[in-house]
Amino acid sequence: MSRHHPSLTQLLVLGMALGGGCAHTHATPPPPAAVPPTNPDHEQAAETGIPISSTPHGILQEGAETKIQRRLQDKGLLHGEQTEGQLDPQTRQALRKFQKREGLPPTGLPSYETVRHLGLDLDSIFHTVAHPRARTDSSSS
Amino acid sequence: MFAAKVVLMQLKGPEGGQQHPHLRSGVLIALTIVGNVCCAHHQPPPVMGAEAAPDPSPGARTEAERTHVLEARWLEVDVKAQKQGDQVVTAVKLVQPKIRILHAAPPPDATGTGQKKEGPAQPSEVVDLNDLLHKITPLDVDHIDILDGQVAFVDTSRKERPEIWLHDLQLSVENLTTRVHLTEGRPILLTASATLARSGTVSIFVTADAFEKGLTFSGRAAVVGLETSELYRFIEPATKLQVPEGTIDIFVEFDCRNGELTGGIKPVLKNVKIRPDNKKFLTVLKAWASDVAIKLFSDRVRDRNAVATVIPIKGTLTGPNVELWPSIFGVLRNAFVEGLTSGYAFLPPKTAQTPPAPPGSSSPSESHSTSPPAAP
Repeated sequence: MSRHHPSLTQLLVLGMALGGGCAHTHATPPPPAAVPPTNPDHEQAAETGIPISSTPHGILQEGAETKIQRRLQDKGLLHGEQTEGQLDPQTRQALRKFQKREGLPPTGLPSYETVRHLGLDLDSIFHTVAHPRARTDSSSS
Repeated sequence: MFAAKVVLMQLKGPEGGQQHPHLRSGVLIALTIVGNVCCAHHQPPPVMGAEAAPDPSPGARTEAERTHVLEARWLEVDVKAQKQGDQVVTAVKLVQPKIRILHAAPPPDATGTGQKKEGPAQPSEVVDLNDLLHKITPLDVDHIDILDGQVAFVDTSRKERPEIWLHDLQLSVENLTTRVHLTEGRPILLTASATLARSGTVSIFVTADAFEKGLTFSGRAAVVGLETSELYRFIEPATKLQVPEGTIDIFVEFDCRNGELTGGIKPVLKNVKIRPDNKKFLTVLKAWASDVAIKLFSDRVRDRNAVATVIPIKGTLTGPNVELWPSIFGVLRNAFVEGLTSGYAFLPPKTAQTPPAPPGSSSPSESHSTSPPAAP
C-alpha cells in the first residue's frame, strides 16, 4: 500500500514555512504555562512506528553524535576538545564545512546523505524500525 | 512555461563493469539541465455577474503577478536515478534556484473580524510540487537538494506589497519514497538553513511519516537575529508602527499527529524601539503602550532588553488544501505583534505564591522554562 507524493510534498512546504499551514493563533494568547511542553524525543508514528521527532537528537541513536564528531575529527574539521557528544555550534560548523566540501547542502544538520558521506552506517546513527507493514509491503512487491 | 537544455546525459553500468541484478547504488542516469523557468498559476477567478469583484491582488506590479502562484528559475538541475533492489529512486539537485511565491487572495482576517468575506471561493494557493517535479523528471523523486537558493514571499493582496526574502537557502529532503519498505524504517527528513532578509539566521528540522493515515510530522524552526526594520512592510500596514531598531528571534515548534497540529511560536524581541508612523493620537498611544510593555518585560540583562511570549499553535490539518500563504504571513505578523502586546495584556503579572514543592518533585521553573528552545 502506498501513498502518492502530492500531499507529502505539500506537507514539506508546510514544514519549510516555519510551521505554517492551518495554524490558528489564539486572539488572546494564554500565558506560557498553558502551552504544551516540548514533545519527548523518540516519539513514534502511531501506525508505522517510524520515529518522528522535532529535534535531531530524537531520531539519533545513543552515542550517534559522538560517532559523527569522531569522523569529523578524523577529517580535521573538529578539534578533540570540541567533542562533547552533542550537536553543539562547533559540530554544526564542522558539519557545514564537510557538507560544503562534499557538494551537499551545508545545513549544519545531520542528513542521511551526510552520514553516508561520513562513511557511517545509517542504522548505527539513526533509529530504525522494522514495521510489519514494511515487511508485508516488501514481500508483496 | 518550461524550457530545458540537456547538457549531460550518462548511462553507466555498475562499478567494475560487472552486471548484477541487485545493483544498489550504481548511477543509471544523470541529467544536468540548465536555464529553466517554470511557474504555477491561479485558476482564473469566477466571473461574478455585473458586479465587479474586488481586485484580489492590488499589490501586483505585472499581469503575471496577478495570475502566478509561483515562479521559479534555476541555474542548474542535476537528476540522478539509482537502482535500489528492484526499485529506481531519483535524486534531484536544484542549484541556485530563484523562487517567488505570490499570494493574491485576501488574508482571512482582512475584515478585522476574523471571518472570511462571503463571496466566490478563492483559488487554492497550494502548489503541487509533485507536478512541478514531474516537469523535471517523470520518475518518482526520493531526494531533493537545494543549493544556494532564494525564495521570495510576496503578498500582492495588499497594496503595500509586503515582501520578504529567504536567501542562501540550503535544503535537503530525504526518504520521499512511495513504498513503505523503501523508507528502511526511517522518517522523511527535511533539514535546511537560510538567511531571512539580510540578517535573520534560519534553521529548520522536520521529520515526517507519509504512511500514516493522517498528516504526521514534527519539527522545529528558528529565526535568530532578524532586524525588525526589515519587517517594515509586514508590520507597518497592520499596526501603524515603525520599528527602526532592534532584533527579533522567532522559535517555532510544531507537531502534527494524524492531522492534529499543536505547538508554539516564541518571538523574542531585543533592544526594540518603536515609533508611530504619524501623529494620530491612537497610533501614538499604541506605540507608547508597546514601548511600556517592552520596558516592563525587559529581561534585565545589561545592554539588552528582551521580550518573550509564547503563541500556541493549534489546529486541524485535514488535507493539504489549507490556506498556506495567508497563514505564513499571519504567523510572521502575529509573532511580532503578539510579542509586543501579549505581555502587556497579562498585566499585572502573577507573583510567585506557589507552595513549596515536595521533596523530589520538579520545580515550576524546570517544567516550564521561559528560555527559548534551542535551534533545531
